[in-house]
Amino acid sequence: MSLESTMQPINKDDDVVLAVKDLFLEFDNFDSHVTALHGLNFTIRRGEILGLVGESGCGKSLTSLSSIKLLPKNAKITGGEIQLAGTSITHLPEKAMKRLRGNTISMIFQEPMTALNPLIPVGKQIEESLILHKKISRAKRRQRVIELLQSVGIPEPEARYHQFPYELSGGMRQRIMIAMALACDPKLIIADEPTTALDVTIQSQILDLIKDIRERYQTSILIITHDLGVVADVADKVAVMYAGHIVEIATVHELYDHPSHPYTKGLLNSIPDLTTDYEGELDSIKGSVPDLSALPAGCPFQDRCKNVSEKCRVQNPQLAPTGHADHFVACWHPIGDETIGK
Amino acid sequence: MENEATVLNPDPLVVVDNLKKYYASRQGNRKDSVVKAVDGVSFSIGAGKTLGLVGESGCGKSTTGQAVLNLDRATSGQVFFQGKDITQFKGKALRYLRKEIQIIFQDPYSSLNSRMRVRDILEEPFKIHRLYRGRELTAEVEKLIDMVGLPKNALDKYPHQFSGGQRQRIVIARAIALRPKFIVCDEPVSALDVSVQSQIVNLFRRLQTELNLTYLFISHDLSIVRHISDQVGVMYLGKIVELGDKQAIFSKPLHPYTKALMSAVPLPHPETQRNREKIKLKGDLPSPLNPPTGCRFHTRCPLAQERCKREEPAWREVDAKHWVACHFAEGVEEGVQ
Ligand SMILES: Nc1ncnc2c1ncn2[C@@H]1O[C@H](COP(=O)(O)OP(=O)(O)OP(=O)(O)O)[C@@H](O)[C@H]1O
Ligand SMILES: Nc1ncnc2c1ncn2[C@@H]1O[C@H](COP(=O)(O)OP(=O)(O)OP(=O)(O)O)[C@@H](O)[C@H]1O
Ligand code: SF4
Ligand SMILES: [Mg+2]
Ligand SMILES: [Mg+2]
Repeated sequence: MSLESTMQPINKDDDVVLAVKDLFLEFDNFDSHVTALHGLNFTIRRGEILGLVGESGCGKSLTSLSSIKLLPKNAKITGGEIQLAGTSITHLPEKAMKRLRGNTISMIFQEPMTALNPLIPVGKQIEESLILHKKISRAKRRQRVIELLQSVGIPEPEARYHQFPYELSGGMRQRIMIAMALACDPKLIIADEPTTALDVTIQSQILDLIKDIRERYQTSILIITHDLGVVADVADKVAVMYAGHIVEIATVHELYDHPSHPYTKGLLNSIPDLTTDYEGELDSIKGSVPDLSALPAGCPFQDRCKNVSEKCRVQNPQLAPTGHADHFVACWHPIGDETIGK
Repeated sequence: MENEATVLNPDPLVVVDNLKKYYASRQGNRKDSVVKAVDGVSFSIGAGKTLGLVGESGCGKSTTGQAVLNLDRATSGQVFFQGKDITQFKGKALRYLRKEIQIIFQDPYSSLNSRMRVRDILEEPFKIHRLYRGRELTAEVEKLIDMVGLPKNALDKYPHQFSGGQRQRIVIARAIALRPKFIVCDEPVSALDVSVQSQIVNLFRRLQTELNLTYLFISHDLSIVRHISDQVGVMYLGKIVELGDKQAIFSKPLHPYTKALMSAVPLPHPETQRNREKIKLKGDLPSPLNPPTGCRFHTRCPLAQERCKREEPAWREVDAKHWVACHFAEGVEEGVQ
């Protein structure tokens, strides 16, 4: 079935900034083919924050790297399509992609220290992308960099301009990354675990900044994280990934109030509650995350699932509407409505 | 060995008294600069209980753990284990201590020798301490692997054949092999997938009951600490700023840092998370090379007054069995909502 038709009933094109349709990605090694992404479908609209959650190795970073076509050499998109602001970029040559990156679409990584050049003052590094993509005078550029530093909450921007990455704290460096990402007024920012390396007090500052950027510029944001608290704080919509599949997608309130996939439900139940004293055993999902190169036929979650049936071992469930607005799940026996898909 | 903290545990297994650990600075060129990684930490842990130690990166949690184990000589202060000051232990006494006290680290990958089979890994501690041999040893090792919830055939595999959670089970099996009384757990679930963390947390609790283990549980994850601890210490820049029973710490935090830390943890529920009252801390953690004067938290504290810059706050028992170092602790109210 076409997911696109159900998810975007009206006003189809104008507002969709990123559309990923039935995306497949494979690794081609000497001795093996591994399918790492299994037919992903999602869209991000103008001014929307989509949270992509999942555990280590489930394919979150590959999804984001596919969206800007910065894939490892041995990775190949083997099916589906990626559209940026209405235009397909699936087969766009690298030269044209270079014009888009840092311009229409930009990226923030987990470890700013590795993404920043240690030998160049941070202000200069922000300026680089302006030189690359915008034809403005030197003085204007300087001024723009100072504005950007200010807008991401860096005190004394004139002085900071000349500092090197190692002279800044982790939180400051992440602010620099965000300023760089904002430099050319992108339509879409992809933030891959932007706060994972930070302490919670600094994380909360950076999450506020991300929300603030969306408010001010109506930028669309794809935020990748393994932390369900981070998603609850910033996202409008959530996609849950498991072993290279999107297994559930819904608006943020709907997802947390009515988790439909047994995996989503299991994850939410396994987190201890910070607000109460609970003495019993924690709920947990049995087993561990499967190896992508050894996925079983049928549903990728079958070996850990409480609802598993014979059908799950044979047929891989596709994302289908749950019956609630904007809520899709890939499961033969979802929570709350065991009739779906039968 | 009397300190305020012993009041919490009238019959403590471990008592730490004014522990300090200073390092020569890593940032080379400035000569005589010193990192006061742990700067006068005191607490006690009752037998069979868990003390959770929380705080942000670099506040000195791991250093405290290492010093408590006597892995690394403390700069000053004392650590009592079953009433004896172990900082003075040598030779035979130290070997005995290595049996009674264990540590479990965050990273189950680097803590296991990749060239040894699980069986050899688990037999090693018994061999070192010449405890069992032959069939008895085999039986003991099989019992261990069962206690941590792995099948017997796991014994004949190598560490790389296991997932992260399973490896941490192996690490735990090795740690409990000699039936220690006390285990320092330094971020033992932080590297694990979320779906696996709760399995391991449950295992820690089950083993604690079965073997009457005492834990120092170091973590930056406050929800896990609330779940697993009996008492909690909150560290900031080398000092414990608040200490008490976990109910008291979480439902009535007295230190503004504790309160800010709790409110910075995003709760996994959008409605609650977006509507709760949050305390935002300004700025970054100050450098431990050059900690602020007076109260070390004053540069970020929402309650700070002139006095805080000048005067280091006393360690006070503000509520019964609830200690805090803040001049204005009485102005802090309510726990996590
Ligand atoms: N260059 C590569 N060659 C082969 N396999 C790869 C390569 N890069 C990634 N993979 C595999 O693809 C899968 C998805 O990786 P990805 O980095 O997208 O995961 P992730 O969800 O971002 O995980 P994490 O939370 O750890 O960052 C992983 O199982 C990984 O082993
Ligand atoms: N061997 C060492 N030499 C110099 N400084 C050190 C050494 N070990 C730790 N430090 C410093 O001591 C301080 C406390 O470090 P420690 O590792 O105990 O912190 P932590 O609370 O465990 O942090 P994290 O949450 O990041 O593990 C830090 O400032 C650290 O840089
Ligand atoms: S399809 Fe079956 S195995 Fe997969 S999650 Fe749903 S019930 Fe579980
Ligand atoms: Mg990743
Ligand atoms: Mg540590």
